[in-house]
Amino acid sequence: MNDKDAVNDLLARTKAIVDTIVDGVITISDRGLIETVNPAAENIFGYNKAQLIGNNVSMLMPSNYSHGHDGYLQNYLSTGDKKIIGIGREVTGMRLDGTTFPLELAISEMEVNGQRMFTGIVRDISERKNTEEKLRELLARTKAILDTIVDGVITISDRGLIETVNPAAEKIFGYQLQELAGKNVSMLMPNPYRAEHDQYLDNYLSTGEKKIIGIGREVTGLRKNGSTFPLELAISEMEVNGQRMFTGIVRDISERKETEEKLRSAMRRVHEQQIKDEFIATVSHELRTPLTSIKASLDLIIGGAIEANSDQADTLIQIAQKNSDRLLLLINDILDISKIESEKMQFNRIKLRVKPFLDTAIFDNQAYAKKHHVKFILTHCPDPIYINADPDRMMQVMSNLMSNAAKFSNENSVVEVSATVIKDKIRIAVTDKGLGIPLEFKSRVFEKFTQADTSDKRAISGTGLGLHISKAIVEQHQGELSFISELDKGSTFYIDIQQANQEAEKCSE
Amino acid sequence: MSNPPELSRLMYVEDEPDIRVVANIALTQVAGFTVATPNNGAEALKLISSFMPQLILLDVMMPGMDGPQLLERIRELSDFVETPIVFITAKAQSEEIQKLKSMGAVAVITKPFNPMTLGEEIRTIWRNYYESKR
Repeated sequence: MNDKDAVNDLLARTKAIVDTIVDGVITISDRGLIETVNPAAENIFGYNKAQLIGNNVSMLMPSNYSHGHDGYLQNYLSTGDKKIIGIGREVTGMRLDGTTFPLELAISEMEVNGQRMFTGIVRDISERKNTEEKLRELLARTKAILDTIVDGVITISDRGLIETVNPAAEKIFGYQLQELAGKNVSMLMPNPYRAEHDQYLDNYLSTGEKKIIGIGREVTGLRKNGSTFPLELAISEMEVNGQRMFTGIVRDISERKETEEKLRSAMRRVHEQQIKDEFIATVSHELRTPLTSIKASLDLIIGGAIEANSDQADTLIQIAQKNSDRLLLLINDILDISKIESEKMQFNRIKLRVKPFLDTAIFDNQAYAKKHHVKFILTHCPDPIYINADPDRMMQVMSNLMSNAAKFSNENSVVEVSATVIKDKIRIAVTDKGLGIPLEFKSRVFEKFTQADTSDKRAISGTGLGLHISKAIVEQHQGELSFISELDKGSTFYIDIQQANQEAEKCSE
Repeated sequence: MSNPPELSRLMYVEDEPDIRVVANIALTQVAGFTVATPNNGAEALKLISSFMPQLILLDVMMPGMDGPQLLERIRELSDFVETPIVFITAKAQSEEIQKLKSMGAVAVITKPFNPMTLGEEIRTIWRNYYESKR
């Protein structure tokens, strides 16, 4: 290839480049007249080559710029004072149809055959500007939302460091943004959550195991002033420029919780009142029942409905007496219940030697044995062993358990009383071979005014309060009253109570 | 206008044996009724068709079938669809009494009752029941 060919080749290549690049290329003379334009420039401005060449380049600018252009060019040529040359900048272009658009312009100066010339490279940036504008608007909108919503919004890095907080979050926690930025988000949590947070985050990043992310939940927040408060937290995960980030949306729910708590306590009070009302209604019913027999018996005798000194009169007097006893038992039990519930029951605990205590229990409750034709036997009791207990109250429990056992035993059977040592506890048990407790009644055995639903007349002779009181008394001794029972085989009620130490045994008895 | 029929046959269902004894004396010896006193709902249902009471007294709290449940069962019997039923209860609260009346009892007598005037009280209930039916 000779030199000429080489030059032609270069020209052809240059032309191909200029013809195909997306940027517009315009050359003007030092008088501002257009000398060449490439197809992209034609396209950008909507003119064809013929309409442009030889015309002043200011035709491609809106009038407020075009007026200055000639002056500017003149100024540059005479003083060398550059305002655009060599510097890319954003200006406004005008198309053939008169519409204007933003364009990026880069001008370079060159000399061709001693003639000064300028090359302008123009790029239509309408679309980019448009996108930027939209983005700016979106950002402004997003910022306005973040600035005004009542929920706190906090973003943290994957290392748990706070990156941004919105004003609501500042207000909720009582910090300023600058106090929070770059700090570990765990500063907003009280212990033990604080300690757990980093570990949790690490665990999540390494295993992907989510505990909170995507799930709103109630946690506790810590304010700058050290106070804690309930907050609802929802965390989402996002990726920004390949960087994993977390956004937490927090809502102070103190007020809501307070309202909930008020509501709950009001409902609790109503419920307690209902229970009290029910108890009073039941007490009234339970007192009126024996009173009905007493009053009617006496009214019939005094009213002359039956002959005095007759067998019938005797029967009625006995009914009155029996029901007076029952009324007295009821009143005593109700008083006990009331003392237990108002926590006014007194316990004078002493060190009690178990064997003589159980001997006394068997002796003192012989009346029940006789009445129901059973025999109380102490089958097993190591001696000496001790418990710390109020002897009168513990005897009340024994009487209750033994009278129940006698009442529900088959005639001529044995009720076994025993004490065994189980580790540091002593178990005192009363076992009958009687009716047993129906399965459906087992859960209510210790409730007030309950008796198994049976037409057996033995069941209705109690107050329905004994076991409830006994359980309360045993529990006041830090013990437990429980039972096992099998229908038609019998029941064992047993007290498990702490064994008193052996050392001071001489002091007792 | 015809006078109500003479009330003579009563059934009183009551689980408390002592109250059965005193009520029996009050209703037979004092008031002159013929009385049956079964001690629970099942007994009452067994007895009712042969005894044919004109008015039925029911205790409310009874083991097994309680008073209101028994009332329902009695109403299922064709002979006793309209028989006046009276509850006798130791639950004396006015709301309780209202509730019992709404179950279809013509009256509620509270315990303790006066055995000397119980019969008269029941006769008044009987008369009022017939008055209201007219």
